[in-house]
Amino acid sequence: MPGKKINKLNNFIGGGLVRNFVVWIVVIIMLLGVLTTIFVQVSLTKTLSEELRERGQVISRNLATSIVESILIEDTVYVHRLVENAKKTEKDVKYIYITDARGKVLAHTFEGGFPGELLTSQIDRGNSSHLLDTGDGIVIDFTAPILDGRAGFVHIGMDETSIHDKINQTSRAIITLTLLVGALGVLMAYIAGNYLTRPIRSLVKGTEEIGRGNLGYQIKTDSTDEINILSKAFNEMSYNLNNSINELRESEERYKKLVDSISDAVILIDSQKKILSWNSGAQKIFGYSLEEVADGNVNLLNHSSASEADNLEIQDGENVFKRKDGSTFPGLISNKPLQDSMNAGNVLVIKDITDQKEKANLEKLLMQSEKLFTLGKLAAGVAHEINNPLTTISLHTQIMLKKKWDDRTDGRLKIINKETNRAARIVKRLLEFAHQPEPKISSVDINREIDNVLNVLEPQLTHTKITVNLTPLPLIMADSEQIQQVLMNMLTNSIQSITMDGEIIIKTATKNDHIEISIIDNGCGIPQDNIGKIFDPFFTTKMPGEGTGLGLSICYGIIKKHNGSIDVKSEVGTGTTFTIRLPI
Amino acid sequence: MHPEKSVILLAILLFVIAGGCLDTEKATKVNLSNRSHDVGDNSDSQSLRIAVSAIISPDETMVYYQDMFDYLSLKMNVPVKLVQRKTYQEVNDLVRKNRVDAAFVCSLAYIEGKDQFGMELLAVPEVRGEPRYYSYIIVPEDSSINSLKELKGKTFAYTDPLSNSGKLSPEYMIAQMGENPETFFKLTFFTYSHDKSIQAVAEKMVDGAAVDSLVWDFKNATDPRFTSRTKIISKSPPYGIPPIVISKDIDPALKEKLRKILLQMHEDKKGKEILDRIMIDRFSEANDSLYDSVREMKKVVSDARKKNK
Repeated sequence: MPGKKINKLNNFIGGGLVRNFVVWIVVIIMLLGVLTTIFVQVSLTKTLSEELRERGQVISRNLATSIVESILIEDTVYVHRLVENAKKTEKDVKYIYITDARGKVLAHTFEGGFPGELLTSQIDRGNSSHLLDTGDGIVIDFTAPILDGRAGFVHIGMDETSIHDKINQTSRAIITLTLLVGALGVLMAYIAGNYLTRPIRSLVKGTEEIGRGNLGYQIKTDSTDEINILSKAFNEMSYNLNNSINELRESEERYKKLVDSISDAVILIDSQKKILSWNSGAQKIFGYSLEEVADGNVNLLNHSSASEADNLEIQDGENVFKRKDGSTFPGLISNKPLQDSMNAGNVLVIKDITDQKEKANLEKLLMQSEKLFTLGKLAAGVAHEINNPLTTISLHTQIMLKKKWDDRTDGRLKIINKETNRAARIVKRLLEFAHQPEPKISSVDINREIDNVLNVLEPQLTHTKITVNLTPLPLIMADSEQIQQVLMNMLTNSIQSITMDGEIIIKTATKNDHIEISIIDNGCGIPQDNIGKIFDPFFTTKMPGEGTGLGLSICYGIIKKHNGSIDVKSEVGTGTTFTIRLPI
Repeated sequence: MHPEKSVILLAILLFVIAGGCLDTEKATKVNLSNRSHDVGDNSDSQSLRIAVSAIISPDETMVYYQDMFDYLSLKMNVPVKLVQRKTYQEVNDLVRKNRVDAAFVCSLAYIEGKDQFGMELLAVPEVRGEPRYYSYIIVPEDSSINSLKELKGKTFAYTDPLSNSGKLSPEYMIAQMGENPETFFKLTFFTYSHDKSIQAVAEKMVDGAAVDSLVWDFKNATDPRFTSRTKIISKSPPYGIPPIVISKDIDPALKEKLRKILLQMHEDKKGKEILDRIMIDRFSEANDSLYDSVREMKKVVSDARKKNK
């Protein structure tokens, strides 16, 4: 948790700025301290070294001058005394020794003998001084000639140790001072940093307040520097931000109300079809709350299986949708991209068109009924009026046929008779259509009725394969005769639609509150345009004379009277499926 | 620019400047703990040792006689060592003890030496054609004193107790004046060399001094810094010049060789140059009678001293 520690430290010393301030001050002080130490060391070394050299030279020259006579008169004792005295009275003198002109040592200050190595180090007499490393500190060796070297040389070794002691002492003092100043610097930098960053901290607090959502927060400032300008700018920004956000909020509120007032489902989805938002209309229509569907795929609402629709573009138009409770409804969907670009997401508007559909169905049914009613009246009138002359024609034709006629006449009479009978049949059916009788209700087993009809139709089924798939059905209340008529009509229709090698499948099944009879053929099918008209009276695709166009219309009437329904699904070339539903 | 970079740059710059200031003289390694080498005695059996009395101060003597000694060394084919002592007596002692082979001594010192242990003359220098010299009584140049008599009760510098020109001669003159040499001056002291006496007078440390004419003249000719600030108020009669002597125990061959070199020195080109430089014409055979006048003075002064006691 070093981060935590630093945070704590930051809090303690007042944040990163103050810490930086303190660190930099300390770094600068320490750097200056080090540089000063080095500089002082260097210059002090130089100065003291020069001073030591000067002293060494002065001492050696003085000694050379004062000692010359004693040497010349070979007053060894006095030479010794002078040398010892010089060593005693002068500071930093490590040793003194005197050599004669030939380099023989005359006197020295070493105790217990003269170090011979020193003589060999003196070979170079070009310099009046040179450095010697004695292993016990550096010694500057000075050589001063006595009487231009005729009488010999004075050698003095000046010890640099005291110089280094002095330098070390000074360096220590400077380092101590630097540390002291550093400590003081830390303190002062901390105080100064705290003082200087106080307005910044109030700025930071201001930004934190705004970050927390406290818009319009104002910083109190009393300084007159750049921070003040910044603070004022901040306050203005805060004020403006607050206003803007409030305006935005109001605007958003207005738009939300607007969208929520739409009764259709308005759904905002992203490019991955995830639901981002929707209005209260959508909630009402689908039964989900926004929280439940948010981030969910919009296909959740689609009735068709999700995987199938996953990759499909959502198409405008009619579709079936699914509610939360599993029920479905038809809807009209409109899909508009939110912006021109592809990835911004789309707005879906889904309109529940259940009511409209029902209304349209009802209207259609009403129209059918009215049509049938009108047609029925007309047909009844026409049939009645035509029936009397037809009866007369038929009667007289019958009479004439009982007599002997030439073959030609007899043939014509037979045609007249035949056509008259046909006309009578048409009239009879018209009358049937017009005066559809109320069903005579009794318990009917539909399966048995199907068997009966198939028995009747058997002679016509030579070219057609019939597959019967009947499941036991409950008895329903129906008019068995009329049901037989319906089945007969339907099967006849199917048989007629089949050309060669046809197959007809007859299925029965029990659904919740009704039974279903399906008649499936693989005949020529019905064009889409005609599907809506097949139950209309007199609609026929057969050649004139082959059908009346009343069969399916009658069937429709019968089933309606039984409170059932007939559905037809057909595709040209594949076949047609009629589904009759009758309530139990 | 980053502040870190500039700080580092500054530091490097300062280090370089500081480094430039550092002297990097290399120290020679020396071990001072091995102190086997000792100072031996300074006797030198190989060298010919010749003492020079401090007629002039030892350092001046060194300079003065350097060339001659080098010449002798060359001719004798042995190193010649110049031996000096503070007083004339010490030099006499060296001769007596055979510590030196030869010596340049003062005239009076020779007489004493001959009397005490038979110091022998080897040769004498000739200056301006004769082996004689004088004693000058000198006073500071601006002094009002113009005769030895006027120096009574003043301070006076003698050269050496065994000096003829620097001690015996003025004492003799005082005695001749009927004064007691012991009390004539207020204060006397020995400078132990004539050039120091000249300096003492020039610096007015004393009111007067008696000096060797050879020294004064030589100094006046070569380095008149001090002589120019003195004036001669009295010049003695001529005395036998300070001779070169030898111990009587010296190897005769050596003595002969040395004498020959000295006597022939002015005939040699290099020798002549050296002699010219120290203002000596030549070395000549010495005769003891040359110093009779000094012997006479010594007796007079000694008598005067005894009388005053």
